[in-house]
Amino acid sequence: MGSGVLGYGVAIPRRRIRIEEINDVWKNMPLQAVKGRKVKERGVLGPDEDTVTLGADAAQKAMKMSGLDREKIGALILGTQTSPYHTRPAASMLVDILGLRNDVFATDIQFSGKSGTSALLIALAYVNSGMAEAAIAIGSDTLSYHVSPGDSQEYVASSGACAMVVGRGAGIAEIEKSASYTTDTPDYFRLDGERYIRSGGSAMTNTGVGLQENMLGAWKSVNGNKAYAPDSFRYLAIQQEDGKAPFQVGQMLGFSKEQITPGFFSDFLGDCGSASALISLAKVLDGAAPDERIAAISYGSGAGSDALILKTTSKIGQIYRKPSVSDLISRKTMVDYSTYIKLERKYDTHERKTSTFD
Amino acid sequence: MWSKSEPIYRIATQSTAKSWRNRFARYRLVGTHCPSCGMDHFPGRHVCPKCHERDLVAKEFSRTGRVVCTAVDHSPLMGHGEEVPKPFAIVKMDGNGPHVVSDVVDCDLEQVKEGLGVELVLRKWRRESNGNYTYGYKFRPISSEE
Repeated sequence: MGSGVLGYGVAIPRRRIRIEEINDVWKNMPLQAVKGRKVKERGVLGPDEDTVTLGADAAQKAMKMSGLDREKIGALILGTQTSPYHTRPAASMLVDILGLRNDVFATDIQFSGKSGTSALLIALAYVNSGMAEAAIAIGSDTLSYHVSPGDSQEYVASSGACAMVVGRGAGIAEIEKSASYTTDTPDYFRLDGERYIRSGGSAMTNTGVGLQENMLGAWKSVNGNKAYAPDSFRYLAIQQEDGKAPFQVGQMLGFSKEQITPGFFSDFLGDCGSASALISLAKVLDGAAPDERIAAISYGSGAGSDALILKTTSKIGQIYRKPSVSDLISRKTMVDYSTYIKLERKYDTHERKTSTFD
Repeated sequence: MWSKSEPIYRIATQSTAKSWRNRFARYRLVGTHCPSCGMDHFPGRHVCPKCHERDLVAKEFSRTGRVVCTAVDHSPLMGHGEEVPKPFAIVKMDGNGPHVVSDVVDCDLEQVKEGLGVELVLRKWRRESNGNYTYGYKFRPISSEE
């Protein structure tokens, strides 16, 4: 008996900013060049939101969809590169937030943009080995909070979370195969004690040594000897650093535009980091019919790629899949540049230890 | 990551130990139930105020509810959100649950009216006196399709 996805949930911040707003302030790139990245709007974090709140929201939705008794969850793995604390773990907070048993296995995974799929693979390993009846994997990131004003990534960095409950049996989508590919390619990184993510320079980010090489490597590994022809897949769920790369790399892997579009979401949301590939998979599952095969590929800067092959089951038609990822993206409040700077606290002040009204 | 511009609130702020003790109430609306007289309490109690029973059991209340009273905060205290005006409401939780006061988030100001169906959503509250983050319930409107 294999294992599969029993339920999934997505959480994204409601606030968005248009890329023209950012370009009006900085004029650091020609607007046409910014538009070439095919992201029109990206998420802005609210003052009371972070990796934990987004992850909790997504996990609640996933548990609700799975219909599983929470006592049955034996492991919770949170994949994030933007945990609010250096030392206090976030997965343990989520155990108490979700009301899981206290004898679960819980851990944080920090593995760049592929932390979410890394968490999913660890959850699957727990289920497949019999160490847990069901497990919950969460990818949650707040890249928008960690991108410097004036940085080229400010146009795309966003926030979001996606949770998947996996368990024994095929569930709504059986996981047929998985593979990983890891290289040391520091195209983006954040040093200890620093607030903002740095880039390794255009030689690292624009030449294909990171995203393309790792995704191709993972795909070759999961699809050894080309066991699956590209037309045996109905969908590709892919990591979306911007709106251009998914189509570019997807087509290099042999997928058509029609296979990529159903899982494409970053044009109105941006780069959701470790949640990106999982949100893409959730968007595919929102519209999938039974017996359709899905390829899913993630990428993390300096981490590598995970590739998974899934096949939907007849159960997918029986579950309630609202609100969909598209519904969540369409619910938005636009903010201007100065409001975004205020909400994401990208300004300097003295440390405010406040009393009543000062 | 910690940011200097995120205020630490110094008046009537919980210590880490105090907020740790009430974490289930903040996360999931866990109160107490009196097995002898049937009364529910939120926040949880050690002794039932009605029949003085001491062996109370934990009870998790519903995550959904209905707005019974609204107000708008035009000058929130520091640490209570950077957005003005800020709607908040008294929410009666479903299943004969408690009345809870909290912010209503992810909606337009005009949307917050008596009778609005809401669900519990976890958000950051103001930080503890030593800067530790405190997470707790706020409410978000439920759309008709959910």
